[in-house]
Amino acid sequence: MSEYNDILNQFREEEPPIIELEGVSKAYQKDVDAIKDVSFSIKKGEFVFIVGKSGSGKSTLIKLLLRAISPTKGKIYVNGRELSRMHRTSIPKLRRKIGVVFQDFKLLNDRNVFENVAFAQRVIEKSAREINRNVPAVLSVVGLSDKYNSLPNELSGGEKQRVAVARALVNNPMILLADEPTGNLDPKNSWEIMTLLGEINKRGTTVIVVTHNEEIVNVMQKRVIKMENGHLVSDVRKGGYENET
Amino acid sequence: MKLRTLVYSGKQGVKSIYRNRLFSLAAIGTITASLILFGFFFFITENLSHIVDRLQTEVAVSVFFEPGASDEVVANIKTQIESRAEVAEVVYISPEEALEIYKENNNQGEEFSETFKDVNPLEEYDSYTVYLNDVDMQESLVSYIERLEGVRTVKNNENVAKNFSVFNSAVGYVCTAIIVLLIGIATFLISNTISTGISVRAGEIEIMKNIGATDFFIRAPFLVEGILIGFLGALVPIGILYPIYGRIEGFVAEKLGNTLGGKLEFLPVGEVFGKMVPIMLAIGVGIGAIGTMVTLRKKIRRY
Repeated sequence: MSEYNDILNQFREEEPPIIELEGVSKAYQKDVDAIKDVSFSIKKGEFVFIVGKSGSGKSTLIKLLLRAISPTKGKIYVNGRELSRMHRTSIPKLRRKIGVVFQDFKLLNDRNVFENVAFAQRVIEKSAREINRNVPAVLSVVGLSDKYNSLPNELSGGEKQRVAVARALVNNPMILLADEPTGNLDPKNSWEIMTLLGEINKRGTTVIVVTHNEEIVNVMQKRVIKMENGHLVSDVRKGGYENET
Repeated sequence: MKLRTLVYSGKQGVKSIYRNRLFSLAAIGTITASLILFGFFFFITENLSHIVDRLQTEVAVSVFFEPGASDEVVANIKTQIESRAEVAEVVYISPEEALEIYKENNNQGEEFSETFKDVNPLEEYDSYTVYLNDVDMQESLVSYIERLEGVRTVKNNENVAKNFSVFNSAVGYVCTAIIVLLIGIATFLISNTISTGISVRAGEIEIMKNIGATDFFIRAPFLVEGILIGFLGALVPIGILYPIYGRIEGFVAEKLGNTLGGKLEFLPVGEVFGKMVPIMLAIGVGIGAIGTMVTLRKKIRRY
């Protein structure tokens, strides 16, 4: 098996990165950089933690990757396309390649589990037949096959986050971006969600998790990019929260 | 844009009207009030214009010739008058016809005919009666005719039509000013309703953006909502005004039918509403669409 892993890793090394940042800075106000001169690349199929304290620039990074904002300096490539050169009408297509999961779940409380997940498909104009096929499949992946008709307020925090993950996955994104996905969950549910994200990664989806949950980062031993005051201070291939460069 | 997306946007728009029903009702109510007022002004201006048109057919000036003017001069006067664009018709009135007209207009009886059996006091008062197709040009026509060779005098008829025309223009200006003001208020209220809808659905909009909804997909339900509010705001006054106008028209025909020599007659319901309904619907839908688009531009950032 290890031989295959080496071959696969070598193949991945040669592949162009799915995400690449080249000297990216973002200033919301003049001379106050939220992130400064950040460069890194992420290969297809990687699992990456981005860690750092509040105000370290993690949220800015997410906004930049979703092209909700543009960098003041530098270039960002997603799947080979430079984001700042992208016409605004192409932005929705970019976002369909990136599934996003948030700390506060961002579910529609007036719609049941099925409709919350189906919503992502309706937005990209999928047919009812496709929705009826894809939504149950993804709900099965996240272990919510028995909760189709439940409303969000009838679910536990962990279940809500599973719905959010299902919604992010249903459109088959290349990248899954999770912003503090365990921030509102107890340790048990946190581990369940992280295990789920690990499984999704094994199926080939690139997973980026922004977190400051030290325990999870330390135990999972994945690549860790650490941000501090807007600077990238370390990038460790298999590391923990406090790894040094 | 797929049909199912249009259906989805339509459903969301209708749901949103229901969800913000108080604001929606306020906006529909204001548009209704504005368009009812518009409807009344429309009735007034349309009917005044109709009456003026009818009265104009009777507006005429009388042209009397110099004593002893030759047939050639008289014929020449006719040619020159007929060359004017505002002139509809020129009719020659002989002295005998003039006497007959006088007799009829003044209710003279047999005694009058007997008195003037052999002598016509209007012998030198043959004339042209000039009918106009544009009452506003009467003054300019009169001064033109007065300068013609062989013309002794020109007399204007009593000009009821002209007064109606002036009144109609004044009503038109007032009507326009009031309607512009009301449309402004209605647009503001629609904008408010849409703003509330955007606030209520802020979370949903954010999710839509994050999962790759197009700008149109996000905005279309609001546009449907605004246009529907405008459309309903136009339908209600049409339903209210239809029976009211029918009664007014009936009243005018019955009670005032003989006023102004039978010229005071309102347009039939079908004719007025045939013209007014498309205008009202266009105004309603236009207010809805413009109010919504202005708000969307302000409240929803593109991508």
